[in-house]
Amino acid sequence: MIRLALAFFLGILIGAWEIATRPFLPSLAMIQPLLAVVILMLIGSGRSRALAMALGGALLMDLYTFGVFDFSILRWFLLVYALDLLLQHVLTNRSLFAALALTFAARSFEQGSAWIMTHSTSENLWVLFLFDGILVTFGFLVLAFLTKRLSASLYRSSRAPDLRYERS
Amino acid sequence: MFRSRPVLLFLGACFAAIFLILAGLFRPLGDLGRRLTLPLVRFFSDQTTRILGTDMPHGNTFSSESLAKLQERLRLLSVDSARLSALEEENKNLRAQAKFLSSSGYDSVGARVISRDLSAGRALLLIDRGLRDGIESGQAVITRDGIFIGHILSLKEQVATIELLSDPQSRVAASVVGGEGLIGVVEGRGNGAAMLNFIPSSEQIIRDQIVVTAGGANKIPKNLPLGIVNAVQGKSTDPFLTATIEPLVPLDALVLVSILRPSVLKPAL
Repeated sequence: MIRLALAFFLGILIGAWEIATRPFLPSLAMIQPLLAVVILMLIGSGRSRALAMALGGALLMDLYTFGVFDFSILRWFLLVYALDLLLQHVLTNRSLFAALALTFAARSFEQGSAWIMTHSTSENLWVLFLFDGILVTFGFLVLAFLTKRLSASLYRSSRAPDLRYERS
Repeated sequence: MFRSRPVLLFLGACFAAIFLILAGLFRPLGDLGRRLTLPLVRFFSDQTTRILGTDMPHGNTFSSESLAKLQERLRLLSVDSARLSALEEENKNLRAQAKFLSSSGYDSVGARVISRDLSAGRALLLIDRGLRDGIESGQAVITRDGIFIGHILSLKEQVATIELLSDPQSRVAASVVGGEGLIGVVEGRGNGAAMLNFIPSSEQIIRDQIVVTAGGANKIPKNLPLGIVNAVQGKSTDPFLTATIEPLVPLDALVLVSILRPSVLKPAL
């Protein structure tokens, strides 16, 4: 429970940073760390903590939205559930490759849902994908070296072929 | 197998939540959330603007050639301004602007920009002042130097949204310095640009003329400078002319603004 609350408050902190900092950065510095951190949390700690973090960040986005209400909480709730389904049934290992594929799917979902709600998406979408990829790769490698939960290799759950037996 | 019951329950909960949100029943919770988190958001935006500097152009770069042209225009404008200030009519206007706050029944509320939306051509700012500060929708927003930049679009208890004059949905009645009454309507074009439309062809309007607010709407006072005429389009035979307006301040680099509030709305201490 305490860890869930910590994840929620971390989400609030990242959400506040995104709202207050991102608009003042140069237009090409599209750093939006909430998505990357939620994906790393989903891969490393599971759905409930990722959901708590996503809802913390989305709460801030809804509180400081420019429109009447852009349903960030609902969109991020659905996003985390969709990502969890992808992770459990499509991307069955927890490799860096899976994390990057998940990031691409997540950002596409997030931008698509934003377009449905507000009829606008981020400019320079490919730069956004690039920054997402960099953040997730960096975070993934740091987590892989600091904890035993993630493997920095491309394969983890599926065993790599043992060449010694093939030679003999 | 498709489990219809949880899905239906989830959809029902979503629709109920959307209905309650649109009915405004979550507004007190939102106000409480903003009250708790506003210091955090303000802290982040304060640190960011402090690190990056307040005059940083947002995504714009200026070549040395265009800078030299701008400096030349600035010099010419300064000379013109000094000459014009000798005229009695101009003096009256300048006095009205300088002593505006003390004589017009308005006071100003300082506010910090905590976020902005410049995506998809919009030009909106979010500030850390709201209903509790006596602000109302439609009130004029100016810089510390008294330059009009936009008006309040929407309000919440602790925060408010400003629609800048370059926003494509912004419409402001405008006049020129020394002119009498309304001359046209300034419409935003996005990306920091604005147009002065519906200028009667009988009006004499030239490049580098200062455009000011025309008043009319009781929440936006007269004679607040908002931009200079960059180019005039149209022939003398056209019923109306249009002019490109260049804002007097970079609208995408604003950090501190003031909202003009009628003195009667000032909260009692």
